[in-house]
Amino acid sequence: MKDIVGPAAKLGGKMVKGVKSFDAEAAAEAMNDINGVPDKYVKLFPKGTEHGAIADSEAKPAIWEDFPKFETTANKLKDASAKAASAAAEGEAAFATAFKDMTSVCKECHESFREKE
Amino acid sequence: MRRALLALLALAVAGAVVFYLLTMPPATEPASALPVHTPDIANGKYMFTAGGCAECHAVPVKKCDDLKANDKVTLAGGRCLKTPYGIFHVPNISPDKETGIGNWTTIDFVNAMKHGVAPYGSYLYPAFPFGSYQRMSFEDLIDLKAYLDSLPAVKNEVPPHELGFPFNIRRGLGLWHKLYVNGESFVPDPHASAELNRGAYLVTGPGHCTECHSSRNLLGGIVKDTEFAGAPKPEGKGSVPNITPSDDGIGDWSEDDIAYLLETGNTPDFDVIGESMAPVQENMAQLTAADRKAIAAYIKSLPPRPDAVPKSKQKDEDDEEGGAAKSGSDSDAKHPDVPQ
Repeated sequence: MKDIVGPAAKLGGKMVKGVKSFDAEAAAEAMNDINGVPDKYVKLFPKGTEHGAIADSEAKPAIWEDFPKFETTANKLKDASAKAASAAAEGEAAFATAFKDMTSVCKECHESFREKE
Repeated sequence: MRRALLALLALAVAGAVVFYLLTMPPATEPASALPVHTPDIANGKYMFTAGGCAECHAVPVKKCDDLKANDKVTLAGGRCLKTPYGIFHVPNISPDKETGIGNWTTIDFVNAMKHGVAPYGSYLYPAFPFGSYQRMSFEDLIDLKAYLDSLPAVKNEVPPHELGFPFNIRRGLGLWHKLYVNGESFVPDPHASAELNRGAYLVTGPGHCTECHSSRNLLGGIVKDTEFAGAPKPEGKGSVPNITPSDDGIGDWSEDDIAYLLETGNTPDFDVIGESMAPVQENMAQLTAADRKAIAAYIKSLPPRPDAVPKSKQKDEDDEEGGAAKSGSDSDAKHPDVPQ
């Protein structure tokens, strides 16, 4: 799933940074790819896979301790990516704003739920 | 026998005298060194953000090692930093006259920032990054002091540091200060652009980036040849990345990539940066876009260096610990302790 979100975010980011010229269709497609992922995120961490049960997992205990919050945050990504996808049709500036809003959700979720040194 | 004893005594006295001389309180700035300057509180707040003062001095939410704080203006201290030297208890720098720094004059504050000494000459520990703050200009320090004075005074007595021998002998810090502190303000390079100089000032002065991104010698001093080339984490597990423009570092990042990371927390691959950099990045996000760009330009101009903490070494440790993890070890397996 990271294999979907990472490259799609990178493509969108390149357009926002102006490294790649803005392409409304490609941008919308990338955001739609991201949009399909949150539904999968929330199925990834069933009971019994708690922190430590899986070696090399970067999942924080907070996922299991406060699953509703995890679900809410995952759904924020769904909303934000849908907004970014439709903003692409409105042009570069609208897309850039929506894209930044979306990446702030990435940050919020990673900080709360992913362990990283 | 008596002669031998006398010789020993003489040696001990000589040693004590040398220690005394080497650790004498440093020359500090006299009040007359301060320029005539009307404090600019807005700039003081800006420097406060650039310097990340709240990240250590704001009251932690619950426990003393809680990374989060309720706000960035209640600077009553109480955070604890667990380091190889022992536990530092971060002091109260609110303007409370009894337990904070409400009685400090502007020159007292300047001398703490530039010389690492408290009023009346006692040395401060370099967990407080005056090794970098000393490069700040008098004007910025006067502004910062004015901003601190405008914040709420909070009574909170912070416990003394709990350090092992010999680090608990404050006077011994005189040696460290002799080696690493001179109180000299940043001097712009006349051949460099205004942007590069601004970036250099922010990075090496208030931003104190080198304090975490550089490795240290046994005395705890920054090793100049490996500056910005990464380091073990100051508080234990993991490592701090190499930010020089080399293959090991971030040589493939553009200036815009660096500025974008400081603004948003996203790497060029759209990964999200780690926990201890997150509050720093959030501060950087509040600076002007021009300042973030200046920081990026300066970082990009650093000499490229290989990793100071070899990746292969870290990987070996990962492998060893990884083996342990398979046999049902704890969840720390992916965070090997970095040797001290």
